[in-house]
Amino acid sequence: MSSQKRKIDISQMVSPFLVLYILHGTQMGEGVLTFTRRIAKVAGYDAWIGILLTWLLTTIIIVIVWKIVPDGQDLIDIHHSIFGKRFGNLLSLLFGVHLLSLSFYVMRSYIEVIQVWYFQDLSIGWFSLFLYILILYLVLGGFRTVVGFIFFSFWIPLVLSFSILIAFQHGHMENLLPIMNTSYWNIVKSVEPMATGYLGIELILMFAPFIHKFHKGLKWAVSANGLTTLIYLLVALSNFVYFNQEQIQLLAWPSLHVWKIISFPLIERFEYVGISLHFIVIIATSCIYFWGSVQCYYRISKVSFRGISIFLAIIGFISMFLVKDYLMIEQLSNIISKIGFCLLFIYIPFLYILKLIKSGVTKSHETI
Amino acid sequence: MLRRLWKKTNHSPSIESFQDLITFMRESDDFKQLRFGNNSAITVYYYQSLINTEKIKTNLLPYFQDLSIHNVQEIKNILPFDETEVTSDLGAIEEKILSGFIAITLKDDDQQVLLMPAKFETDRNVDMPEIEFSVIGPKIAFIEDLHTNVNLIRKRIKLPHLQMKLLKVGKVTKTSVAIMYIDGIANQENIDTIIQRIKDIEYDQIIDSSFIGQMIADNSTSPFPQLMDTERPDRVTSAIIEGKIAIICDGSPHVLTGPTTLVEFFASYEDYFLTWPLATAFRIIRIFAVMFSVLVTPLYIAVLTYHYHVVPIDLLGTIISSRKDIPFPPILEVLILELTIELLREAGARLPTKIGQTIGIVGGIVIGTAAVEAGITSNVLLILVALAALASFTTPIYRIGNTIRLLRFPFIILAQMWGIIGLAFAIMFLVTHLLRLTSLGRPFTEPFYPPRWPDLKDAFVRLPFSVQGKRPIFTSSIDKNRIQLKRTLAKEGKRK
Repeated sequence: MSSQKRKIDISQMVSPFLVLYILHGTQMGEGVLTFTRRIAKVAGYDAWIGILLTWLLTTIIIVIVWKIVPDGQDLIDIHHSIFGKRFGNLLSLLFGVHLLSLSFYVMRSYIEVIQVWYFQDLSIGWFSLFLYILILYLVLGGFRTVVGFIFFSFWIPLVLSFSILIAFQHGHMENLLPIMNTSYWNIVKSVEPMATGYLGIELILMFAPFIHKFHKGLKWAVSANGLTTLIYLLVALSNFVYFNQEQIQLLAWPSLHVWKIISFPLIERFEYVGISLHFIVIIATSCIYFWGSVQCYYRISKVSFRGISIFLAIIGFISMFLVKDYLMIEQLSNIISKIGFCLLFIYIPFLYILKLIKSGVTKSHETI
Repeated sequence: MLRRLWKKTNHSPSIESFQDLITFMRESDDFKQLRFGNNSAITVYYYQSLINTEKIKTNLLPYFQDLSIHNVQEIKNILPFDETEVTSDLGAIEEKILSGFIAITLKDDDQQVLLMPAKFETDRNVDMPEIEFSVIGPKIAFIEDLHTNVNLIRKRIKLPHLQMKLLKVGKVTKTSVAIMYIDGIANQENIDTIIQRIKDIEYDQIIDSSFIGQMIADNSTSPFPQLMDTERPDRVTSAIIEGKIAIICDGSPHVLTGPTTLVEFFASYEDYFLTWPLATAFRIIRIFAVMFSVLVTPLYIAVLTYHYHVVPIDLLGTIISSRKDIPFPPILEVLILELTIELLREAGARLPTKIGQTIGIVGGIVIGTAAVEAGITSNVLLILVALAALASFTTPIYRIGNTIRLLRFPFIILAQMWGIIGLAFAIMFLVTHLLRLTSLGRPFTEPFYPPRWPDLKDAFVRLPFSVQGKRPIFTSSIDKNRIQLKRTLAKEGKRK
């Protein structure tokens, strides 16, 4: 296997401040609907402290990512330089699988939402056909189009998160008290389910060379992480004050249930509008992951970008039929959450250490 | 080119000399030949239909009385006309005779031909704008004549840097196309792109500027126009000063300008004649009108087919009671009414003005009320469809109005398939399409994406002229400052 090392077209590159939108867009996906249930299971009402802890850890990871990636290189180059060509490509291959399965998971789990809230007998075949046509249309437009779409979808959760404030009006703030009701260890354990909501940091390794003056993007990535945390915190607190601990475990998508209490003069049930708007956010997240996996395979193979995208879209389309029910989605979610956790908190620091050792070795060679 | 075509079709001997050309042209009955002078030494050839014969009689004949002339150069020297030319190049002779010149030869020397312009002008006078009418501001529109149009622009820009490049396009029509820009403001890359793309056009007829607009568009399958199309000289002037490039096509009263962006199609030029808060408010109303026009009937379908619980109970009662006698599902009801409106619009556009108005009244009032009374459509929907049609007329540029008109049909189909989720689908496809579009290689959705905050001063809003100190970024103009405002100078120092 040889890699396609091509100079990236300047017309496909984006400004560093767009990292804010890209990273926030990748993080804000399906997770925001379910994470409160997952973290409350581990740490109860004190899980919001876990969010802050995860925020701290992920910010460190982001800084490490910026330390790993030199200007104009991506994960494939880093794998090559650290592990050599063959083993590096194998790791990149696995990384591509991770991105593709995340892209698939985000979409498939949202189809479940649509099935539950809108159409019990939704034909997955037609629906996912349209989904993948849309994704292909986006991805074949190049990185700029994908980022444009994320930029467009960025404003939706920002606006939607205001609507969730209504829960504080009707909720019980005393639910949160006393703080530190649970053991420290439980809070630390809540980082693992929470980390799923922060996945997207690893994608920076793929799109880094597409960012104009990549080194300037760090502050934007950190702010994106902060913004994500802010929204997660808001959502978590609103859910915690509105539902009690037992109830929240029974709700598949607690955040959607909060929307049920909102009504406007023209819109009686806000969650219908909310779900369809959040669908756009889901597509944006899924699309950038899909782009990441296509780019990954494009770099390690000799097939055209178009060919790989169509092939992966067909794979995704077929896998839609393999996931049969909600239990399988939950299983998939658990696996992805574990893999994502390892990738973020073990693999990326591991890469950094290897890189340090490698550069140390070459430096000492040079001095000798 | 014509000669080559003729060669292929008629199998006649090729044209080798001026005499051959004359013999060939004479086959057309409006080709005339006049002889003057001693022993008819001077011969004049022309197409009667292209020539102002008065001009020959009054201006030319007096010079030919009692003269002894030895070569055509002498005639050229005594004739007081511009653009006269002596040549023996057959291609040039053919082209000139066909564009309203007369050819003069001498008996002794029939290789040297004198060409003199005597064009017969049939163009109408400069008139009021009909499509982009504005209550305030100049009331003048382009006409079909290229030179008048160029004159309308040049007399508004008193700058020697205003350049015009003339090109000939179309193998048969050989239409003159002028490209106008200000040297030192317009981006050279844009100019080169336009000139190159126009030169690359391979077609026999260029009847109107919209032919060029379609042929040089970045994506010719898109329903969105990718070049601005206007009949207002003031709009073109302002575009040129902003650093855009105007394409003026002979025979077309519409001038193209580019590069352009989506929001520009929602900006009426009247916005600049009103004070900025008013202009901003109207612009926002227009954008909402367009969104309403595209979304309202699909939403009606989505809500009434799938999500009736989204509507509050009181409103639902009104809708249901107006619909209780209708035998059709919402989608059929909507399609019937939408297609009726489209029919009316299409018929109104094709019919002569006087009949068109009558048909509009017959269609709008009679058919509308009759449809409701007959129980084919509901009152609520009739109001919505009429409003949507009205809203689509608020677009200041006719061309984008057509796009909006067509756009709602895919929305309707997707809304029928998956309700609000289908609408989200349709919006996503539309957004993706817009994101992929470019105008002369520059992003069409600018300034929203790629986000260029300074350009937002003239997008959704139209801020006062005092903050419009810079030209828009997306034209990549060379000279970015409009005026040497202190504010802009300070800003530039900070930015660079």
